[in-house]
Amino acid sequence: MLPAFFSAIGSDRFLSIDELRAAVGDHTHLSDAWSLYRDSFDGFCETRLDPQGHHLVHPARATGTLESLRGEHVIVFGIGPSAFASLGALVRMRERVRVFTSPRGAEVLAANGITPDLVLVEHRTAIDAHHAARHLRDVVVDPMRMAPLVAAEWRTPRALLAGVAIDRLFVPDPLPTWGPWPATAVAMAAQTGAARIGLLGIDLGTVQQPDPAFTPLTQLLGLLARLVPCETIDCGGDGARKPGWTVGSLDSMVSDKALAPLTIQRRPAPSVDERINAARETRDRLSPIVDRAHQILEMGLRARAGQRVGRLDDAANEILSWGGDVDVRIDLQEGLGLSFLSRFWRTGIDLELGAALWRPIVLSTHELTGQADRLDRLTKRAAA
Amino acid sequence: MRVLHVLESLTAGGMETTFLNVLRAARAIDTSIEHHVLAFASGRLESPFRDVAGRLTIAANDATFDACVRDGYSAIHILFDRTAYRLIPRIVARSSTPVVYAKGYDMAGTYRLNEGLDWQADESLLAAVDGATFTTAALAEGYSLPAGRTTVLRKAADIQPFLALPLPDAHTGMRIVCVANLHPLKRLGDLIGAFAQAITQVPDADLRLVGGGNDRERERLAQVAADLGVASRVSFAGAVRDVAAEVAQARVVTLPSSTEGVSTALIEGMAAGRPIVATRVGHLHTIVDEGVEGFFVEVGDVRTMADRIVRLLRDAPLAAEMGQAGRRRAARHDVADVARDVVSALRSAVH
Repeated sequence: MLPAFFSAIGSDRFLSIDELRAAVGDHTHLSDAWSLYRDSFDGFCETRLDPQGHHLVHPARATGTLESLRGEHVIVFGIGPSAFASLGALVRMRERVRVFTSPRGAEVLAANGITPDLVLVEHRTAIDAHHAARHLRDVVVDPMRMAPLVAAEWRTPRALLAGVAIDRLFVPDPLPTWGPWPATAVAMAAQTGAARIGLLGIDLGTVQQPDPAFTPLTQLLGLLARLVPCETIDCGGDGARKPGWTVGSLDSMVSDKALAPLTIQRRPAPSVDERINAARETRDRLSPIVDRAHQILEMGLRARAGQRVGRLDDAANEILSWGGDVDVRIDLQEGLGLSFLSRFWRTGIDLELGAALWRPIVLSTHELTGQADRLDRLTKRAAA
Repeated sequence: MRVLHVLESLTAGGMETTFLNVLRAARAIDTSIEHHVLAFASGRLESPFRDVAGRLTIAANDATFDACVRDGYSAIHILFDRTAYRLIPRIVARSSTPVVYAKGYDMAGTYRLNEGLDWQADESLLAAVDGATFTTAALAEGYSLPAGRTTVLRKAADIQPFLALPLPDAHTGMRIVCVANLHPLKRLGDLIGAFAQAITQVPDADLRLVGGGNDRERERLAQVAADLGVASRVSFAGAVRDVAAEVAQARVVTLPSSTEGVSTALIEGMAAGRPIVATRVGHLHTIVDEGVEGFFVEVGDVRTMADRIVRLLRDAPLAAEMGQAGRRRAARHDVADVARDVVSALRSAVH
C-alpha cells in the first residue's frame, strides 16, 4: 500500500541513500523521495526525537494499526479557510465518509457538531507539543474527550491526553511519518487501503499565493500522491495546488459504502516499567560517549572563555564520527533526543572555522550531556 | 558594523512590536550600525520594518537565510526560540560570524517561567552563542549563563505617546480597556463575565477589547457577551495602529490572560496613568505591585476581577493614585534605554 522506504526515510535512521537502499531495497521513487528529504527537510525530520521523555509516561496501553479501510473514502480535515466554507456540506455527508483530523481540527469539528473517526496527535517539536497541551486548558470543550479513536505518537505529552478514555487511545505503530500530521494522516489512510483520500482545509496558502512555509508539506503530499495506489483529491479548491492531487468537490468524497466504526489491530504497548528499563539500558550503553562528551564540552567551554585548549578540529571530528556507528546514532537520536549533533552529522561542520569551532562543539555536547542527565532524572522519576 | 536581525515573522505580536520600537531607537542612538532585518513570513509590521531597516528580506526558506549570511555581517541577532533552534546550528557549523540570541518571552521562555518547561535545546543554544540578551532579569533566572556574555535588559515599551496622555478626569467615560490579541490564552471570556457583573454596579460602564487575531475567537466572545446580555456594551476595536488613542478613553486597563511574560500593554496602560487589573501570571509581578499600581486576581476568578474593576471605577482618588504610581514605574521601561543596552550587547559580541 505504501512502500517501506517512506517510513524508513521519515525515521531519520539513515544518513545516506546507500544506507537506506541497503536496508529497504530499491524502488522507483526512492531517489526522488530521498532528494525531497535532503533538500526540503534538511535530511532530518525529527520524528523520533523525544527530548522531554514523554514516551516514558505515555498513558497508552495499546499500539497498533488501523483495520483495513479497503474501498473507503477518507477526508483529512485541517483548519485552513476552505474547511470553514465546507462545514455544512461535511455535516450532511458525514455518515458516508471517514474523517481524520488533528486536535485543532477536532475542536473545529466539535463546534459544528461533527465527530471525526480518528484524531491524530503529532507534533513537530517539543515546544509545539507543549503548546498544544497548554491550549487545551483554555478551550471550552476538550475535543479529544469526544473522539472515538485517538492515535497519539509516543512523544505526546501526557497532559494532552488527560481527557481521552484509555480504550480509545493507541500509539500508531508503525507510524508512517515525516513530521507534518496531514501527510501522516494521508499515509495512514493509504496504508490501510483507502480507495480515495481527500484534503479539506489543508490549504497551505492559496492558488495564487502558495505559502512558502508549507512548501515541504506540499512537496511531501505530492510524493505521497505518487506513492499511493488510491485517488487523491484536494477538496479545498482555493488552496495551493498540490502536485498529483486532483482538485475536486467535497461531494466526490461521498461513498456508497456503509461505514462501521473504525477499529484497530491492537497490540499491547510496552508497560511503563519496560519503557523505563529500555531507557536505562540505552543510557548505560551510551555511558562511554556521555563521559567523553563531558570532556569535550569542558574543552569547548574553556575555548569559549578564550583559554588555550587542544585541537578543536579533532574534537569536532570525534563527535561527528559518532554518527558513523548506526547503533550509537540511533541511541543518541532516539534515546537522548539529540537534535543538534544529529543535524551536524548531516550538514557536517566546517573544520576550518578555527577558534569558532567551540560553538558547534559546545552546542552539541551541551545538549548531549544535558539530555543524558535529564534521562537519568526522568527514569528515576518515572520509576517512582 | 552591519547587523542582521532575524525574526520568525512580521506579525504584530508583542515581541515583534517591541523589537520594532527597539530598532527604531537603536538607529537613532548609533548611526554607525547598519541594521538589516530578515523574517520568514510577512505580516502587519512589514511596512514599519521596511521604514526602519536598511534592508528587509522576507525569506522564502532557510536557503535565503544562508545566502544572507554569506553577505558577511558583523553579527547575527536572532529573536525567537524557533528561529534560534533552526538557524543557530546552521550558522555555527559553517561560519564564524558572531551570534547574539535574544531570549524573550517566546514560547520556550514563557512556558519555562509559567509551567516549568525545561527545554534543554534552548539552554544549549544559549551556551553556544557569542552573546545573549534577556528581556528581563526574572527571565534570566534559572538559566546557567556565563558572566560577560549575557546582557539583562528591561522590558521595552514605546511609552512616550502614553506618557503624553492626560490622566482620566470627570469627562472620561467608565470604560474598561483590554489590549490583547483575541486568543483563547487571553481568556477574554473571563473579562466579559467580570464586566457583566461589574455593570450591575456601574451601569454606565463599557468594555473595549483592542486587538486583532482570530475571527473564530471574536465570534465566540461576541456570543459570550450576547449570552450575558452585555453585547451592546462590549465593543471590538480590532487591530489598531494608535493604541494610545484607545487607552486614552479608559479608566481601567485590564489583562485576564492565563499566561503572560511581561505585558507591553500593561506598561503602556501604566504609562498612561491608568490603574491595572490583571491576572497573577508570568512576570507581571515584576511591573505591578499588588495594591500599588493596580490589583491582581487569580486566573478565572471572575468575581474578584469584577470587584476590583468596580472599586477602581467608583473610587476615583484610588484610581488616580494607582495611575500616578504606574506612570512613574513605567518610565523605567523606556525603549531608548533598552535600545542602548541592545546595541552594547551587539558590539560586545563582535569584539
